[in-house]
Amino acid sequence: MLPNLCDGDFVVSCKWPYRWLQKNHIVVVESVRLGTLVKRIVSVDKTHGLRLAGDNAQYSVSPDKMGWQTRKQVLGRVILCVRAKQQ
Amino acid sequence: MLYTMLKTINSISPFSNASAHCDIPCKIYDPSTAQIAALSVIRLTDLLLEIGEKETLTLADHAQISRLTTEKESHAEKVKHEVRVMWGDYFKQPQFDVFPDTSELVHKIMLAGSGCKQHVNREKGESLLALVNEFATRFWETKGVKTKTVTCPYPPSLNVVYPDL
Repeated sequence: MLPNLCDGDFVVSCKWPYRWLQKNHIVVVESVRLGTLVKRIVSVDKTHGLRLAGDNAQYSVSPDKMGWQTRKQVLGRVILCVRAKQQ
Repeated sequence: MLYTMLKTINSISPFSNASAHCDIPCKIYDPSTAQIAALSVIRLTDLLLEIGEKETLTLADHAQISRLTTEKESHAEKVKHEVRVMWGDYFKQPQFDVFPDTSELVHKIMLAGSGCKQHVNREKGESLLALVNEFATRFWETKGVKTKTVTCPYPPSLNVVYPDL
């Protein structure tokens, strides 16, 4: 998620009505294969769920490989990012 | 100040971690770990087969079979893991454009790795190594690095693809 999120940053997320989620929102999801992820919404599909992507496209797992994230997997929408202090 | 406060709270009562997955573009990918793991599978298979040739097995032999089987399982899984990570994290569209059937090759490696776990069969190990060598060849070619095939200098003394650096 570089450069918008860096290693060590804190993110604050909260439960968000699924129907209010939109493209470009950053969400926290629980992926069965990949664990707890913080990613940006690429698209919202009522039937399949969310397609997500990292901001650092060159090095991120592609949306295709991540697969659809269902409504139940969404832990919340990120509402605040607190950047780590640079050493 | 907010960061410092959160960091302090985190040290006392840790927050959940969320991964952005490959946040750190370390660019360190090398198929050699998968190749060494495949060689280990073959070597461990050979050692199991040697014990299998004995007419009678001692308690020590049974214990050794258990250890060898555990290690064979572990190394076969390592092959699958290392290849999966490189396929998922390194191979992107430009690489798939050059080698469009890479996903099929990776699937074959996954099946071959499982076959090595399920059986004590040298041929299956050799097939696994051959597939991983093919994967390694493609990987280095996508980086513009020539490769050479050399017999590894330790048992099972089989051909391995190395980068010609």
